[in-house]
Amino acid sequence: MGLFDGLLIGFGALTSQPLSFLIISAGLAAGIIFGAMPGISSPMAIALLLPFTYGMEAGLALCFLVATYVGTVFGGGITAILFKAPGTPEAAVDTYDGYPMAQKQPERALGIQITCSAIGGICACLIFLFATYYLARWALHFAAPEYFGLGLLGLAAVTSLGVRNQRKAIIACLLGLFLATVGMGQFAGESRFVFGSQYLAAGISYVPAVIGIFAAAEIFKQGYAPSEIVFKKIATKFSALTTGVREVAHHKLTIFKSMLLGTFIGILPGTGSTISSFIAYGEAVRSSKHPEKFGTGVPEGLIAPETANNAASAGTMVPTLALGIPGGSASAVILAAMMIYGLTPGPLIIQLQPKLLYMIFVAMLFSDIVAIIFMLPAIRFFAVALTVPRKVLNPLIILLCITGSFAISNNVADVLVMFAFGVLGYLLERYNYPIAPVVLGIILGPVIERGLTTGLVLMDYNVLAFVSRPITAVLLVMAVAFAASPIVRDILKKRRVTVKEKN
Amino acid sequence: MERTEKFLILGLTAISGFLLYVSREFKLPAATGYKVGDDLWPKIVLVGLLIMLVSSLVFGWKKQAEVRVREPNASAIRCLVIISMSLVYAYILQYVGFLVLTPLFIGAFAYILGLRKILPLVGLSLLLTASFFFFFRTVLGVPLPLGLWYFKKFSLLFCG
Repeated sequence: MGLFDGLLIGFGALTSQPLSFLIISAGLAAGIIFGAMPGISSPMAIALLLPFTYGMEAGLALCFLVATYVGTVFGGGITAILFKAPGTPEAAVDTYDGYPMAQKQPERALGIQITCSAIGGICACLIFLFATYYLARWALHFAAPEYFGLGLLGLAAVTSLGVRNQRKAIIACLLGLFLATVGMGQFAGESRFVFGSQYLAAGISYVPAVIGIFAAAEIFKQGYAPSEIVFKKIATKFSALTTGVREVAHHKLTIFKSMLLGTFIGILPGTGSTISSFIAYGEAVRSSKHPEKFGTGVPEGLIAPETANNAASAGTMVPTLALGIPGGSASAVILAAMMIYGLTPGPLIIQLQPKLLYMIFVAMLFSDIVAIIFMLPAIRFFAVALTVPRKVLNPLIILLCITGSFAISNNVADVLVMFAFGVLGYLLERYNYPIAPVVLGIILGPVIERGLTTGLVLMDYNVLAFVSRPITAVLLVMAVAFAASPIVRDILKKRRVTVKEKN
Repeated sequence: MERTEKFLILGLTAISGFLLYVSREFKLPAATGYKVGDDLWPKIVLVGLLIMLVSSLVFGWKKQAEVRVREPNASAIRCLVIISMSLVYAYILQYVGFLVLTPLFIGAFAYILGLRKILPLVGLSLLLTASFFFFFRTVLGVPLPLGLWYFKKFSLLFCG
């Protein structure tokens, strides 16, 4: 089956279900609203909306979640630009130039943001489909050592790129890896760290853990210091928004570079959209003829991160679907959702569930196209949703956390686990430990363990034999390079300071 | 490094050490012929964790803690109350049931967060509970806990 046939199948599968495009649009709208609310990140929004998909067919449920993901990335930029309060971490860079621009011309800034998000998303979607298809076919040849290398690469990326303190990120990651060892062993099925509990014997369920660590932790944080952002009423004229839309055409090269950067960074396991927007912004500054103007409201300063973070959101789906290794924390939640539905992400997806891959692709493409048509006139309605006070919104979120974690297996213990992970997430955040490595650790732990133990048996217990396999060797070298990058960066920084002081 | 963080790391170090000791039990018997077992990976992870925690303590013990800007309205007691309330809710949910316990929990939660007017408080907690109960039980078919004894009888009044 060719790619074009696949696309037709995906489109056909969605059109055969009467409400599919409506459901995808609902996911997109919910994602935009959640994404625009400061404190609700993409993984948190996906985790909170997950229970609403329990009654849906698996493919459609995933399309809904993917549309939510696209929506959060779109929505995150709105509050960053208008109020300097990024809705999602990946939108933080939008405040650098988007906010100063919005002080004088809010419509222009929003027009640029929406257009670039859509362009980045649509172009990356096409790359996503080709990359997933060929990567999955290539990955059919992967054995245990390659999965071990891939898992390590994902963890090395999440603990080194864009983190403030690598030691804290590694501790968080090791905590996640440990939590994944609870329950049945991956090699011989031995019960581990169960301490007589029937619940723990099956291992810690991913979804309550993810809901707790992202959503409940945020609620506890709000409990410590409630924050209320006052959203001013912004009068946006639809006609003025098109100024920004038209302006994008003058920055084709920035868009192209940021789209490629975003997609590539997104494809790297464990990286995600946030890093891509920062790197794309840095590249835009570096290659600009007037770098000194950045930070004052130049369009390139908004175009680069917005294109890149949307491209990365499509990119992160590539390793998630083709290899079963999440591209970032939001796709880690989608991966967890796939497991609930009994779907197996990984190389066999092309052979066993081709329809699913194409459905997700069509849903992403549809979301990007609908977002650009839908968001321009709908901005004022989203602004109304942002005025819901925290003291009303937080009880709603906590109720979503409770019902969402209970509904997975109708087990009250899942609610307890969710709250326990909420406490863990709160404590980690309080002391500046990143939480994405914990989630990646929980999800990648079993993959790495299986890769290591099965690989050792295959290689006759010779660890060095892992490196004799070319793909594993490349992956491990990349992992070491990522892990060493903050140390090298620090050494170079110190050397530069010393040279400056001498001069 | 803050004092509380030091205590947390020390506690985590002790727990990791204990778990490392426990992990020796997962070793496969020599008779199976395998040189690796389910103990290998937890041991690697826990040894790594111990090394990182100890190095954190060694390098961070005397390091001046970052000056934390105290957020307005910050209250550790409020946070502790919310966490304890949530854990108690999760523990007694199976006995008291969703319909009875959730409005009380949501009401208390919203009150702590600053919603003090009685009508919106009661309205919000009842409306949220009723709509979630209806949606999850009727639309999604999720059997939210009804509780035991009298609580169950009460909950059944609304189950049709």
